[in-house]
Amino acid sequence: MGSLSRNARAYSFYIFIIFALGMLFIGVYYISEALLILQSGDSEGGIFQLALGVFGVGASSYIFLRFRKKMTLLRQALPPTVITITECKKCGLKSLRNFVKGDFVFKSLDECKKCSEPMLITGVYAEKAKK
Amino acid sequence: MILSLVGQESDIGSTLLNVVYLGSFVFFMIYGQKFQTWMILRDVGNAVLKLKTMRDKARSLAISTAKEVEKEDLDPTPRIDHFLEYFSIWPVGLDPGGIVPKFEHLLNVRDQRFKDEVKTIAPNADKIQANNLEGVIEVAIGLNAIYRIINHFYLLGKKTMSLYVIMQIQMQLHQIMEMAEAYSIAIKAFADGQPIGDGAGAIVAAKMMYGVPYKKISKEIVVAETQLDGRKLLILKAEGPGSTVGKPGDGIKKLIEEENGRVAMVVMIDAAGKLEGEKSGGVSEGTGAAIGGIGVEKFTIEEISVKYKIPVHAVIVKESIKESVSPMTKEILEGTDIALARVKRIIREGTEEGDTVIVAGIGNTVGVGQ
Ligand SMILES: [Zn+2]
Repeated sequence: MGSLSRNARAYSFYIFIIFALGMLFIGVYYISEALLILQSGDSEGGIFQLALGVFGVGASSYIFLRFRKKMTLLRQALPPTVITITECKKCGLKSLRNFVKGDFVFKSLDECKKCSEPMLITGVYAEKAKK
Repeated sequence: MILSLVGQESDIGSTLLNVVYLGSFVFFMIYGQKFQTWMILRDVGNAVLKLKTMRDKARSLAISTAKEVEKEDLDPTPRIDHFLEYFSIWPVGLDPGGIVPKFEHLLNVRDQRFKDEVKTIAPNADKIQANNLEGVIEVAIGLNAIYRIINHFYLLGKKTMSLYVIMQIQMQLHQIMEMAEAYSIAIKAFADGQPIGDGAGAIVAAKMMYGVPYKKISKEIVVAETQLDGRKLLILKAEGPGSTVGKPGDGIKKLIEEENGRVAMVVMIDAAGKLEGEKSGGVSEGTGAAIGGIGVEKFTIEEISVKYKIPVHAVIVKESIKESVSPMTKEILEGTDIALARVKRIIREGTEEGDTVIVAGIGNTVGVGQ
């Protein structure tokens, strides 16, 4: 996959956006027209105009929604924040901090701040990445 | 009908509109499938592009991890590139009698080959680093395989423009991408030595054996002896905190033979797939050997437990397949406490004082010591 197809993809993206925008405008225009026609008393022609307008707005918003979905699909998943739980077995002092490379469950750490017992890592877990 | 709707002023403009409108129906009837193929191809093409990025990232992480653990100035790039397409040819299944030893042999050879490769890439790495690097490379190989297969179907679909070729892959694309995403997060966990969801069983065992001296019993499996209300507990898990699952089947077999079969119960704890809608970190219990993989270890445990008529109980921590290869979540970590309480209850209710019980924590022990 070279840069060529990447460019082609970008072009098709813009074409789609322009197409969808155009459809949105025409749709809105049709709906406003339809309201005028309906006010003038021509219910049959007004409803057809309205249907066309609603269809246009619907189709364009569908395209936008699809693109949004695709964008979220293409976005790389964020790496989670990893938390290390440290605990003192003697006094029960428990604290959380960010994971550092080299941490593992049941690794002995430096001495506890309160007593002279070594602290222990009792858990490592990942927090869901914030969107 | 449409004509009658617009029909009030039948000028050229509205007639043209109707022709275009009706014409588009005919167009979609004839070219609809082509159009659909084109749309699906685009989806798959995007996925291929994304997979390629993931694969490249995994590759460079493998290289940087190798460089990090290797103090000497060796360039691991060519060796890792060669190894990324490593494959295994599974034994023939036409004659199923005796297929398990064939699998076992193949897995042993493969494992040794991986270890040797890591040794060549980073000769000065310590055991934990080497095991973690092995995990990183293994995930990179997995991602590379996914990329190559999806790319194959994508190119094949593009060449044939056949809806049926491309649909085969599109139908599974969502699950495949989810798996690939989990892998590309997991590879970071292996590189940093963080526990993954699959390590739930290993954590339960570690909680039971922490502070007790342990010894090696089989390949990368350690065992510690403790007491619970007068019962002798033999607790085994893979030796952490490097990434490995070890061979717990061999360990259990050896322990039972050392005790001459006088083992009242075997309790196995493992992470297991949850059904959609179930809470992850939930704990269930059942009967049978709770261990995944191809089935070699399971076979060993089943054989030895049948030979001595030892009941095998299973406690599982539920998680999705994606969670099992991702860094361990809080729910799963909390689930290990519940599983621990369950294991103790099963032992208290199912055995008597003076009995010997084997407790096996199954799963990858990356980031879990003992
Ligand atoms: Zn303390």
